[in-house]
Amino acid sequence: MLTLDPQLLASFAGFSARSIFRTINIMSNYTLFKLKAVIILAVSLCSLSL
Amino acid sequence: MGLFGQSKKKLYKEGHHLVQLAEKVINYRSDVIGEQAVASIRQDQQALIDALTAKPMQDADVQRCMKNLDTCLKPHGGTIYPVTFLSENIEMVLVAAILAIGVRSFFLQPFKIPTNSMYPTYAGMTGEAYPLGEGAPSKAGQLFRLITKGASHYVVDAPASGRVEVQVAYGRDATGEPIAQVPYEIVSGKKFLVLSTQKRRYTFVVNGQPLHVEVPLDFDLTPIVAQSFFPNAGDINQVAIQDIGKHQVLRRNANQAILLSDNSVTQGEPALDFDILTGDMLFVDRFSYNFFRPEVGDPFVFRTNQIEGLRAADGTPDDKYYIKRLVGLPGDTLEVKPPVLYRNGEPITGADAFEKNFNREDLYPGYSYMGWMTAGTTETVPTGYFYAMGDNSPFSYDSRGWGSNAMSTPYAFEDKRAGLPVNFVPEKEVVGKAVFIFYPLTHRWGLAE
Repeated sequence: MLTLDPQLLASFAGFSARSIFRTINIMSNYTLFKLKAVIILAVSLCSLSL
Repeated sequence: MGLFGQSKKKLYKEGHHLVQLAEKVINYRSDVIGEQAVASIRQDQQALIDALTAKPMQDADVQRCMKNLDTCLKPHGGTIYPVTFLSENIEMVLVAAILAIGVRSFFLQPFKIPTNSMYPTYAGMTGEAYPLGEGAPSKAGQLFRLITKGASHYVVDAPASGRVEVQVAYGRDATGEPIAQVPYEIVSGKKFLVLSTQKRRYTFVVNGQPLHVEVPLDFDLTPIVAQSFFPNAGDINQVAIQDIGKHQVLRRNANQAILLSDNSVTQGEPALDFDILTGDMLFVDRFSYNFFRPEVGDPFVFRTNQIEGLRAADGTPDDKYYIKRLVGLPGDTLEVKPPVLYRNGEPITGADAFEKNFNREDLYPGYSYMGWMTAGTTETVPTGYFYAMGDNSPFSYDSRGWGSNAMSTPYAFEDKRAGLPVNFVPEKEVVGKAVFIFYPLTHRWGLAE
């Protein structure tokens, strides 16, 4: 059975959290117009069934 | 306060953004621009931070510090500062992509219904033929149909003039009735110009010249062939079985026949002119099943590569996503007595589609036998598995049939006899529950039932 190394898991969780915070940080500087554009683009990408 | 507060907030935001940009320039370019430049950027950056955090914040101070920092950054910013149109937009697209990947992986994943196994709850791809010579809608009409119904227009020109030779293959449907189908081969093709995919290729012959038609893998061209080449005859079963005497037959045996179309085509003119309407596109909720167990009646999506009954004859797993309705939980015993499906001895409940199927209302055809599920047989769901069935029972290849026909792995029969879970959906393969049909804009648009 596959066992996960706790250290690896922790560093991955840390990396994920950093990525999330970084993305939120970048987006917090967006103007309303840019924010709308990003959301529309993200929703379009979400709807694309590949 | 309103407008004044807004402009102060905006100025603070801009100032804060500039502080971050200065940090970025230092981090990225400190080795290139030298210590002195770094020190002067740091100084102006700190001045701006001080101005921003001063209580109360003085707009004039902030603006002055921003101007200073801007002047200081410009000669050293490289491609980072000033922010260019290109870099700003690339960043925006990347942020949108990250958001989309996050949402798709953990919350909502789009899924396109390929076949009509859940019809009329969800529709798969359907075809609409345009009678030859009458022509398709105008370009504007086609665009409108593309936007509202996802209709892609296909025109195939005749390679020669004359009648079309149509090959049909005979077989039997799930209930044992004889059926005719137009045979096809599977070829590799492209999707969105770059992604490789598989397609169905139908081949006809006109005056010795081959006429190829390529359509998406899950699309059945047979009804279009019947409507286009035998316009007054109904469906292909009527053409090739019931009323075969009314058509010109070139060759015929128990397994197949070659018929000549009722009408002629002209070289260079359309031989087939039709639209393929996209299947319903819906969002699948990947989140809830991490916390709640799936329930009977849920329309659920699962991966098929661990289902033995769906392996090809050479053992290759079938790596697809299927959508069906969950009809059996571990320990449940199921039985079909057309048109009713019984769960643990009672007519099944949990979704409107069950009742509609029992009453054969609103195009629901009622539950029927197939494969392992025949008259008098029951199926018991083992621990760790679910039983999946389509709402369009006679045309749904589901838990009743997986592994029970000649197309599946040859071991399926033995394994089924040995009590192995050949035709059940493993719990781990469940992706999520269908929640919302977002396209096309038909009466089905809205919450998924």
